[in-house]
Amino acid sequence: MKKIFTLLGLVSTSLADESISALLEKYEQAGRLEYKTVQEGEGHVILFSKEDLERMQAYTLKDVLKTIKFYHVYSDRYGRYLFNYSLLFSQNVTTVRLFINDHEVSAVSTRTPFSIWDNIPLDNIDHIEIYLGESAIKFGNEYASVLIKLYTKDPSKENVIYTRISKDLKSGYGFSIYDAREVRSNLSYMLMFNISKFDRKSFDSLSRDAQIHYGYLHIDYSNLHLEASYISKDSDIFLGSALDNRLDDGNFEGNHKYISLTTRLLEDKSLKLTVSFDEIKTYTYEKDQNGLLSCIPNPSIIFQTAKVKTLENSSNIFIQKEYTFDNNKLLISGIYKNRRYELKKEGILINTIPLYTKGKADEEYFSLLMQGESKINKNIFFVAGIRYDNYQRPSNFEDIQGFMIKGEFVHKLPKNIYYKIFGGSFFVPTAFIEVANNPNLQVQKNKFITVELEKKYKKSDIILAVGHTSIKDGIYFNPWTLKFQNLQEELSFTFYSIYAKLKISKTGKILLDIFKIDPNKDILPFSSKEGAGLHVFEKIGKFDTYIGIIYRDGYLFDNIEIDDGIDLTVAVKYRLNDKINIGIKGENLLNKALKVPYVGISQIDTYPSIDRKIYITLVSSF
Amino acid sequence: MNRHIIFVFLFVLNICNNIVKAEPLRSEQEIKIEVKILEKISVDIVKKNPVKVYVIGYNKNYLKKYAKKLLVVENCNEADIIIAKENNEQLKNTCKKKIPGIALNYLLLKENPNFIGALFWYKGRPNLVFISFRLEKFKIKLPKSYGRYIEEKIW
Repeated sequence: MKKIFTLLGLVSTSLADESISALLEKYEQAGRLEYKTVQEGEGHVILFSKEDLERMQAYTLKDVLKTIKFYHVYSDRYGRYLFNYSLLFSQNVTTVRLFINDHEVSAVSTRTPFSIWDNIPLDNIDHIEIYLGESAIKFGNEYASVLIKLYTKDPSKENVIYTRISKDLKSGYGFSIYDAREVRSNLSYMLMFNISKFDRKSFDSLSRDAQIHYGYLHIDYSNLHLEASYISKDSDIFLGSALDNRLDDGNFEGNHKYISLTTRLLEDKSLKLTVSFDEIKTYTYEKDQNGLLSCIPNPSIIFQTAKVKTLENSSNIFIQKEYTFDNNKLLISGIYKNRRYELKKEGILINTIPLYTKGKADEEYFSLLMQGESKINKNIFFVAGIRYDNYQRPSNFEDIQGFMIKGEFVHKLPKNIYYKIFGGSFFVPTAFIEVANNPNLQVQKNKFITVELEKKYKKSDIILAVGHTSIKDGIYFNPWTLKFQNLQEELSFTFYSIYAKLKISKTGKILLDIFKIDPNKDILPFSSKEGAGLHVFEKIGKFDTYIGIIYRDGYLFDNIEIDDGIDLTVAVKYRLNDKINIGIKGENLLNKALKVPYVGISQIDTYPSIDRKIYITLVSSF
Repeated sequence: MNRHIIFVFLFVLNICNNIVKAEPLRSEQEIKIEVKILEKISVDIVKKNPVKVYVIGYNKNYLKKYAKKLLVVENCNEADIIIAKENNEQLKNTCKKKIPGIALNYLLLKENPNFIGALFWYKGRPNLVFISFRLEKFKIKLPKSYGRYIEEKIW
């Protein structure tokens, strides 16, 4: 993974009389997908290149997300991996946007991708861009506190049949196969399938095992990009909403399918048009003799059995026009989404009387964005953007509308020193599930400013960052009342980070990040306030190695002491030849990954989110 | 479902006139370096300046824009070298003379014995390969710096 400041500067324009090997090296660099996709003006970008993902043996999204500073990956009551700001322990993360290329995958009702996509396989992914902060507004996304973009490999540059078989030391496995190739000069395709079983550690009878089936099709015909995908997930649901934290029985089944068409029109390809459709189905079954708390329809009802079916669909249009002048760019874009959400719930009360709840809601969302980028001179660059969002909802829900404003200023000083200032004012729309649970919930309003100072050396790079965020009407899930609520008081916090990258050889590097979050009030002791990550990548002969240590500090949760978390991952890959490699990876080897508290009616239980696991993997490409 | 159909219809109407002649999206820098590689290979093979090039399935405008030492010709029989991405009928029908070629995909190199080398992408990385017995067939001697790209066999 690496922080990039300017990619364009890496490719020299002087090509005359260069050796053939030097030209090929530059050709490879210039052909890399991230040169075309990374948007420096959209905030603090963390990039995981293809080589990083291969060396980390990162085959699912969680493997990457757990390394991100300021954030933590945790397993929620339903056994799903969620990704959220380190201070927060939300049951419904609505502000993280996950994209596969240009298509966002998030549920309509919960506004989160993680209920189904938390274990998406990464075999066909070229690189991952993670935009921290709230500046990313131009990708056709709604509000994002963090935006994750998974870019698939360019099939015209693959020309391969790839297979991967991974096995852990229990009954978990992963199998992926894809065929990606150029058929002729303007036609290429990728077709991928994956089946995975995640055999996670059980605690007594509490299981969070999951199985997924995933299919992905990608066709590039001239400048038309067609993408279709299907993922289904079948999982145990761990604690579910059992009052006693001991669920008797439960199961989750869900699937999400989408199709997306993108093209770039006009001679200079400056007009981008995307049309897409999504359909998401879920079925959740829970049973507990001691009762289940229910968010819907009324938090006070206690069921013994609950069966919930949801059907969601969304039709989306995104249009974007870019005007380029000498040193300036103007971007205008519009989004329209038409969504429907249906819910059917059968709850059996303690006295065995079934209670049926049905609900249906439509939402229309449209958004207009204008963003300018200007290079005042070769050392000064700034971005300013404004976006209007409007959510039209059924009469029993409040419509939402408002503006988001952002700005970024980059100044290059002598001696390879840069400073960047980001800032903005945003609002976080409520999700259906939140307002159904609490109709009086207000939208959350955020403001932030971040200053970064970067010094580049020949073989290293150091970035110091400090920022401040204030949150008004913060939405949070109260684990004691099982209600979504607005914080009565304004929450603000200051955050600090140090990032260092050191190139230790032609093929090796060390990355270090340290962060600290300092809230103005000690009102959210839900997770760590400090953390660090150390990552070493090296290639030794035919061995690719990666060592990663992720530290998160312990904390006190309602008088429960949560110990410091240390997650040590070691991955070694041996290349038998150009086509076959064998890898072994150990995750949470010290068995000290951070534990997460789960609130029951009479006790709080703590369990680690990341299991101690060993994986063996065989990858072939023909 | 009806609204889905309308969306698709409008979308297809909008794009149908634009995709037929469109090029895949690649950066100018990538295209420029690709052309520089083709130019360098051509000059090192033919050892003259300019080199007359006959092009099949590749955008001639790229060569005209970025390669000063290549001259694109319209008649295959006048060419010193062929640069081809597709093994189409044009190649069989128009080229009566045996002219060495550089393929832009590996299959073409495999199938057509007049291609002496290929520049192609494999597993996300560019590859350059020359086949030694085909170089000998055309009595081509490449500079020493090409040594690591010369192979005995076709895969």
